[in-house]
Formats: sequence, structure tokens, C-alpha cells
Amino acid sequence: MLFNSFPFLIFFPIVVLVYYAIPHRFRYLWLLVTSYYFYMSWYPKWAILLLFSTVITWLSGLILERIKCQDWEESKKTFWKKWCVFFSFGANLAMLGVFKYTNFVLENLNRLLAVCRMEALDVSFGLALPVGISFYVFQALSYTMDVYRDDIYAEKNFLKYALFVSFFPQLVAGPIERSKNLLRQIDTKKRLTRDRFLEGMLLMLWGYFLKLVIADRIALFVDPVYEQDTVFTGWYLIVASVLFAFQIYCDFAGYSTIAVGAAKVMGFELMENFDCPYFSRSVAEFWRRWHISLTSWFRDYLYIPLGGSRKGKGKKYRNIMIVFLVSGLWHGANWTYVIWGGLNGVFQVLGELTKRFRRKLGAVFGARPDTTGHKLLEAGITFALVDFAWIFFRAESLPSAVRILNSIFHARNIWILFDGSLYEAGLDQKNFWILLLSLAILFFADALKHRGVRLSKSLLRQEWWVLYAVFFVGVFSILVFGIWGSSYSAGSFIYFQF
Amino acid sequence: MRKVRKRIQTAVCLVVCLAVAWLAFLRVTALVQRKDSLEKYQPFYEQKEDFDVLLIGTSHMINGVFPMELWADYGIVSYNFGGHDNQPATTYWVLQNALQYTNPKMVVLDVFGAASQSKASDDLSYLHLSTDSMPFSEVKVKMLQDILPEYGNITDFLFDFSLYHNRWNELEERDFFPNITREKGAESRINVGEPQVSARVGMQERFEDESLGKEYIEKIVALCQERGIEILLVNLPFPASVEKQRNANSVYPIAEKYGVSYVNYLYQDGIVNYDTDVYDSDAHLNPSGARKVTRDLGRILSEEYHMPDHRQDEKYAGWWEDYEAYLEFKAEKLKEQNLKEYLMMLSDDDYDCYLYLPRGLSWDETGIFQKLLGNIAEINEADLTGTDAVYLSLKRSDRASFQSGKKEIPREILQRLEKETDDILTAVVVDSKNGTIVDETGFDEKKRRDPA
Repeated sequence: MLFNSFPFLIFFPIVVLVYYAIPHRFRYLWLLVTSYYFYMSWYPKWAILLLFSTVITWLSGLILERIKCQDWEESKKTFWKKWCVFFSFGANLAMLGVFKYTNFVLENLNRLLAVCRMEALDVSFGLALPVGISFYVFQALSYTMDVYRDDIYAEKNFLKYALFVSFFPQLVAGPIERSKNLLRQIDTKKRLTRDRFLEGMLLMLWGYFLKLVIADRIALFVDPVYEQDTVFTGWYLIVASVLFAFQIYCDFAGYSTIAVGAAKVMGFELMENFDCPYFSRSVAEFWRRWHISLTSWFRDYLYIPLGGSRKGKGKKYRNIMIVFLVSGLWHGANWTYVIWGGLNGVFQVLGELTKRFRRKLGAVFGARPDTTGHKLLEAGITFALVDFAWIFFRAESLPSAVRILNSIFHARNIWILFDGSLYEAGLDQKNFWILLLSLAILFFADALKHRGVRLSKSLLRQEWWVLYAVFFVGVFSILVFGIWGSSYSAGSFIYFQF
Repeated sequence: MRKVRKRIQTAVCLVVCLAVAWLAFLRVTALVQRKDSLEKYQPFYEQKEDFDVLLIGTSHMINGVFPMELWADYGIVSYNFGGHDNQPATTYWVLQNALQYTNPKMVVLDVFGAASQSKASDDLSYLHLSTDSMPFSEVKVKMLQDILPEYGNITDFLFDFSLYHNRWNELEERDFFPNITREKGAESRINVGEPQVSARVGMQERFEDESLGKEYIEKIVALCQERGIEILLVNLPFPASVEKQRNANSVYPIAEKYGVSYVNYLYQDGIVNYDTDVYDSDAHLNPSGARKVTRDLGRILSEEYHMPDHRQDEKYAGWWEDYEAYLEFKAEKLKEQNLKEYLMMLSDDDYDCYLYLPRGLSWDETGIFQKLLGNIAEINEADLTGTDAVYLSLKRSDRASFQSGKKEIPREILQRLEKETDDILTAVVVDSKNGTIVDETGFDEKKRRDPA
């Protein structure tokens, strides 16, 4: 059940109405049932995997708690605790590996066998990738680690824990919540308040705007151009690549914002997943602002355990590369994702290595880092680097990515920007204008946010009719200008596949 | 007390805001909806009085029978519910829907599609033509449940905003001010096609297999009989291939089984002339053909089924206004045509016409113009040969009388005809009932109308 589907528009109000109508002690059960229903609406059998991950990590928490209470020597305790964490991670990552990476591994193995002139293996397993598996597996694993690190007590109530893993607003595409934040909220009694309800609805509205009006509109241009990169060459690919940066941002941030808004309507506060990422002045900053819940997950559960930046620069760079290569692989079982992750790692390492040189160069040219021009230049360079990496992320395959880059670097057909040819690739002129207007609105909202102004909160302080007008215009903009319905093959949120 | 008042204020504001939003939503929905269906069916849903005859079926029916001509000639009150590429299953539900709003005495069913194995057209935009303007009802839901599962998404038909909201970038004047049909659901398709030639098959040669088409034709007949509505099965004339002739013949057993009449126009020689009366090579009639078929069908409905003549009926006085609008529509259409189509359109009892051909018919290499002139009135061929100027006075009001010669043409009209002698043909068209001039024009070598 997609957020941008009719069933969800019926499902969500029912969930909210019943949620507030029933006594507090039953609410988590209601949310658990509806969350499983939400997940099973894709393919009922996938719920077994969700349950498997839930049971393993819940048991790991209980066992870890039991070990902690034992009257054992500390080293013995640590030994068994590590075994417990190892088991939980092993079981969950094995499940993730089987469903997500089997075909990838076999295909690569076959390539190797072909080089050695050996017989290829059968790769036709036909395992479909369960929706959101990477998200809930990571969320569940964070619980094991948090209990291991004594950040939280193990949750005794299995059903409450099951709700933590399966909470429907963020189940299939994040934000990847931490037990420290979400689990404790399950017990908190919530009252429906005007401000929280309206803020949640405003966030959902904004999320739908990002997804339906911007991301899906861009997809109408980017998809045909990238799929026919030998037909649409040069400047078509340049425009598509720039637009893809906004497509993936609006797609993913749109989903996250709807999730945060939906949770807020029910009284839950989810973590923010995006914070004006394209205003970043370095790739490292970009990653502090992009998919924050995943980046912080890797920071807390991979980068720091590897030693982080504490063991010298060499190991720090190694750790950055490991984190981003793994992040690439997390996003998809394809070398294009690995290269995308690797590029982002390389950019950061190079950024660190050239920091002093760049500072000196700036001094030579008399650069003043606090000026708007300097900030814009840095943001522009960061955007260019990030967007360069997005090409690998979006390309169907490695050869396709190489072809696209080659075409971009040899682009000559700049006239397509002026003679109307651009409008024949899937998005007509009127739609381009709507897109530009929508991007201007996005820029305005992000600029305000960057300066610390929360539009949703500011609106709540306005007169009722202003709020009404915003809802009115927002809803009608989405209904009329949104890309939805039959003439459009309902685009799934890009991040579902991860 | 203050709290209560505040709550009441909030509630009132909320209700007003929601009402405004809802009204705005309805307006936007109506604005972006494709207008074809609204334009075709709005007069049907608006009329309070019953229709005596419903004309249902495919595009053959839409293009082949004109309710306004039935009104003018016989006083029969009818509506054309034909739909482009409507399969009999779709037609069955279209009829079910129509019967919710009117109690006809008679249904005329075009049986083209008897061999159909589909419930709806492959092109769903045709289905939208039938359903978009249908008010929400149980019948509409049942219809979509019956015919859509194999073809499309039911939401697009029950809540068509989901489909049409993308039309914001193609809105035009018509979306704000729809061109509501002035033909009571019929549609004049204007062209003079070249008919295909096929061998004629005997009535006993039939498509014998089971088909959804035949199944639903039977359902329609049964439905009418159950409701006490007379039904006439027709296969309207068109240059039919052998296969389509066999399909049409497969309806005879159905007619026999239910004891209803079946008029298969493929065997009715002398009604239409395919050389002048078809829109395309193998399917549809043009207005000339449609008027001929309508006249014959009107005769059957009037004489054999005794459909009442409402021309003097006060209740239907509004139909005369509609007829005036229809005449205006015809005149507008006439003025848009090139020579071939223009002459085809003159085959109309509402028009008398005077033609002047400064060089005779020497430019008519294919003979089609001679046929088209002959279609307006019986013409003495000898008067058209040679390169001498020809003057024709073709009076439909006297049942297609033909006169040639300058002296037969009133002076005032003659002056108008001879104004432009560079043209190959000039015409003055006069309303056959009141003598007012409907159109006057000339056509050049390219057979195009002179610019106004």
C-alpha cells in the first residue's frame, strides 16, 4: 500500500480515528495489527520475514539482559554478549543477504567462472526483494546494539517491540528509527491536540507535494532519457542528471516527510531524515544532511566500532571508505551502487586530504569563506560532485553509466534547450514550467528551514483562514498538478527497493 | 459559555470551509473532465419528458440515424445512445442506465458486433464516452464490474478525476463552455468515402459460433421484453465485407427466437448509394446516407410500430427550438466543407440549391461530382456534359426536382451565382421551407471553398 494510493487514503483516517477512540492500553495493539496489515498488503508472506527479524532481535535483547544480570566475570559476560550480538546480526544479515544479494553474488560468480572457462551456475532463483527489508532489518539490529551497549533496557513485551519494528509510517522506507527514541514513545499516553494534528497534516501535505508534483513529474523526463541514453544524448543527459538530483531528493524526502507527518498525527515524533542537503558546502556535510537516519546508523554501528577517527588518519579514511562502500551495497545489489558509494567516500577522503591546500589556495585568491558568493561556490561544487555520483546511482548498469558520462562530456547539442526539442522527451513545456515553479517553492522552503524557520510551525501561529488557504491551495495543487492516477504508471517510491 | 460559543464558531468555520473545498473540488473535477460524453448526453439527462425511442448500438448508430430528422419528418422523440466501438455488452449496460431516466416505448438496437468476443472496446476512451456523464448509480457500478475486470481500472470510471486531472495543460474554450450536441446524441461524420467492394453472401451464411456479442444482444432483447418495450433489431447499411455480412446474418435466429423484427439493411437495396453515402470505405454512413436511413427507419417506426407524432404536442414544444438549433448547426457544418463534402451535404430536404458551373463538369475526371449532383436530385446527364456553362436548380422541397437553364433561376440568385466566374462551381443554398439564404459560395480548381 503506497502512501500515494487510494487504499492508504482510506486506511490512514480509519487507523487514526480508531486509534484515538480506543483506550490507551489497546492502542499499541491496534497499531501493530494495522502495521502488519499495511505491510502484508504488498505480499502477505513477506510478513514472515518481518516477524523473523523481530523475534530474533527481541530474543537477543532478552538474552543480553539475562547475561548482564548473571553473576559472571566481566570477560565472560562480554564474550557471551558478543556472541549474542553476533548471532542476531548474523541471522538478520543472512536473511537480508539471501533475499537481496543472492542473484548479485551468483552473477558475479558466473562472470568469474566464465573467465576461468568453467560452467556457469543457475541464477534463476526468482527471489523477489521484500519491500523495505533493508530498513526494518537495520532498525531491528539497532535495538540489539542499543541493549548491548546498555543504552536501553530490553523490552519485555513482545508485541510492543514488534510494533517498534513494524510501525507502518516508517516501516518500508524509514526514517530508520532508534529504539531509544521510538520504543519509549509507545508507552507514552497521547492526546489529540490541534497543533500536533495540523502540523502532522501539513507535513503530510508537503510530503505529497514533493513526491507527486516534483519527483514524479521529473521522473517523466528522467526515465525515458536514461532508458534511451543512445537516443537522448548530450544535453538531454545533463538536464536529466541535474533533475535526477532533485527527483531522488523529493522522492525520498517526500516519503520521509509523509511518514513523519503521519506519525505526528498519532502523537509520535520520528527523527528528521533530511535537512536541506543541497545547501551543503562539502560532501561530508551533505551526508550529515542526507538520509540522516541511515548515515547516523552507519556512524554509530559501523564507523565507530571500526575505530572511527580515533586511530589515525589512515584508518579514518579506510573507515570512511568502508562505510560508504557498504552504504552503496545497502542501497542496491549492483556495482553501480557500490561505485556511487565509493565515489562519495572518495570525495570525502579527498576533501580531508586537500583541506589545507584548499585553504592556502583560498588565501592566495583572497577568498572570504563567510561571504555569500563563497558559500554559493562551495554549495555549487558540492552539488556537482554529488550529482556526478548520482549518475551511477541512476544508471541501469555500469556500461550504461560509462556511456552516459561519455555522452555528457562530449555534449554538443546545447540547442535543444532553445529549439523546443527538450520538451519532446517526456515532459512538455507547460509541465516544465510547473516543475520550475515547484522547485522554486522547494528552494524557498528549504532556504527558510536553513535559516531556522520551520514553516509548519510558523503557519500554526497564523490566522485560521491563512492555514485554511494553505491547505486549500496545497490539496488542489497536488490533486491537479500531481502525477497520479491511470495516465501515469504509479511510480513507486524509489527507496522502496532498498 | 464562552468555550461553548468558541466551539460552535470553530465547528461552523470548519463546515463552511469543507463545503467551499468540496464545491471547488466538484468544479475542478467538472472542468478537467473530457467533454465528449457530457456534450453527447447532457440533453438526454436534462429532458424531463420521456423519450419514445432509444437508438442504441455502435458508431454505426451514432452516424447512421439522426433523431432531429426523425422529429422533423415524423414527430418521433428519440435519442441516439450509440457509442463508438460499443460492444453489445457495453450497449446492454448503456440501455440499463438509460432506462433509469426514461420510459421508452421502443428500442432500436444496432446489432453490429454480434460476433464480438469482448465486453468493451479495446480503446477505453470509447468506453469513457458512454460512462463519463453517467450519474453514479448501482447500475453504473454493476456495469463496470461486469465489463471492466479484463480491460481497465474501475476507479478511472467511477472517479474519473483520477484520470483527467492531468488535463489541466490541455484545457480549451470547450472545457469552459462545452459544445453540447444539437443532434440529440447523433454525430454527423462528414466525408465522401470510397466504398470497398465485396461479394454479397446469402442470408443463410452465418457466423455460427457462440459469442459474447450474441449473448448480450439476447439479453437486450430479453430486457426490453421484460419491461414491455418494443424492440427492433437493425443492421445499418455499410459496405460490408463477407465476414461482416455473415456476422449480421447470425442475428436472424435471435430475432426468430424472441419473435422480434430484424431489418438487415445490407439486403435493402435502393435505400443508400455507397458511392455517395459513406464516410469511410467499410463502416460508417455520412450525413447523406444517414438521412436516407433515418427517413426509412422513421417510416417503419411510424407505420409499423405506431410511434406517436409529437410535433403538435405542447409538452415537446421545446423540440422545435432544438430543431432550429440543429438547422443552424447543419448550416455551420455546410459552410466548413470542401466541394465534394459540400455537395454531399446538399442531399438534404431542408435545402434547395442553385448551382452554376461556368465550364460544365469537364473537370470531373472521376465522375464523383456527377454522382453527388445526382444524389441531390435526379439529373439529366445530357445537361452536364460538354464545356458549356451549366445552371442547375435543385429543389428538394419538391421532392428532388431538377431543372436546368438560366431562366429557371430567380434573378436575385442568378446575380449571386454569376458573381465569380473563375470558380468551377458557385452555389446558393436556400432554406427549402422559408426561402432564406443559408449559404452562398464558390469553389476553385483545388475544389476548395473561396475564402470569405
